Amino acid sequence: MNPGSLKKTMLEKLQNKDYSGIKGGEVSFHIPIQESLLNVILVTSISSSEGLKDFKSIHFSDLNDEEFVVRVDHRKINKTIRCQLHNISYNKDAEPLLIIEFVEGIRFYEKIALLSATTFQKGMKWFKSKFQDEEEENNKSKSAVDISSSLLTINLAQLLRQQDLDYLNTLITWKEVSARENTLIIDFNINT
Amino acid sequence: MKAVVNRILENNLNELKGLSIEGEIPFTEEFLNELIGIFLENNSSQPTDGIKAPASSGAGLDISQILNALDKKELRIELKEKLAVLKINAKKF
Repeated sequence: MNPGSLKKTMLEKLQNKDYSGIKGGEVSFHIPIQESLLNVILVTSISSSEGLKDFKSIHFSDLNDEEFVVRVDHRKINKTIRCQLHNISYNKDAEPLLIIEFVEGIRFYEKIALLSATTFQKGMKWFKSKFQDEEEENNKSKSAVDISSSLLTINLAQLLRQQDLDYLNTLITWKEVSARENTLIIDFNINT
Repeated sequence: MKAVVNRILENNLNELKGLSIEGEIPFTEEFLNELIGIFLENNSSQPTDGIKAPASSGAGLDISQILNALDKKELRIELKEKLAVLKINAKKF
């Protein structure tokens, strides 16, 4: 069988949310990403993502016991921060959120500076959104990352939307994102 | 992201050691036949005018040539009682 046409058929089915003929499928994914690969992904993301343009570099290390160290070189902050991964939670729209807590490395005044900068950015985004007509474009350009003074919240549904993988949002059940043995581990299920 | 995918493949998935994909996807008879229909359609529509399609291997059959030569093409899978289930168990050690 021509694998190209089979792939196209399956992709169209999933994009159209048409699960007829493949209902009841359940596939679990356990993806351990080693530190070296994780940092390559970040370098690539920084160079290609508008939302990360204020970062000069982000480097992960010491991924163990649900904690990791991240060296951030940002327009507003240049620090080494220890972070802790929390369980995936959901917002009011039932979108999965990966929450990362800043455990140590940011001083009080730096938190305030970070918070005021992000609050200003959110305000500007809201202001710009009022002048944009296309709701879909607006949804896609919404940031997947939200920074508060003590938390970094990654909206996983929005992350997929930005990669044109919105159709996966109805299929994926997120289980866990964890850190062990210098590896970031992502566990999720796909159900049809 | 293409550069990341290329790196993963060039390194033979070694930076994803411990990767595991497991599960089942049941296929209904109707969907299997839809896929067979696509297979037949694609192979019939490949151009053959004056050009002989190369065989996949020295002794291999050129299935599109055979399909094009047929006047009636019907191929169906009929499942008795059970669904066809695609079982997946992929790991990188």
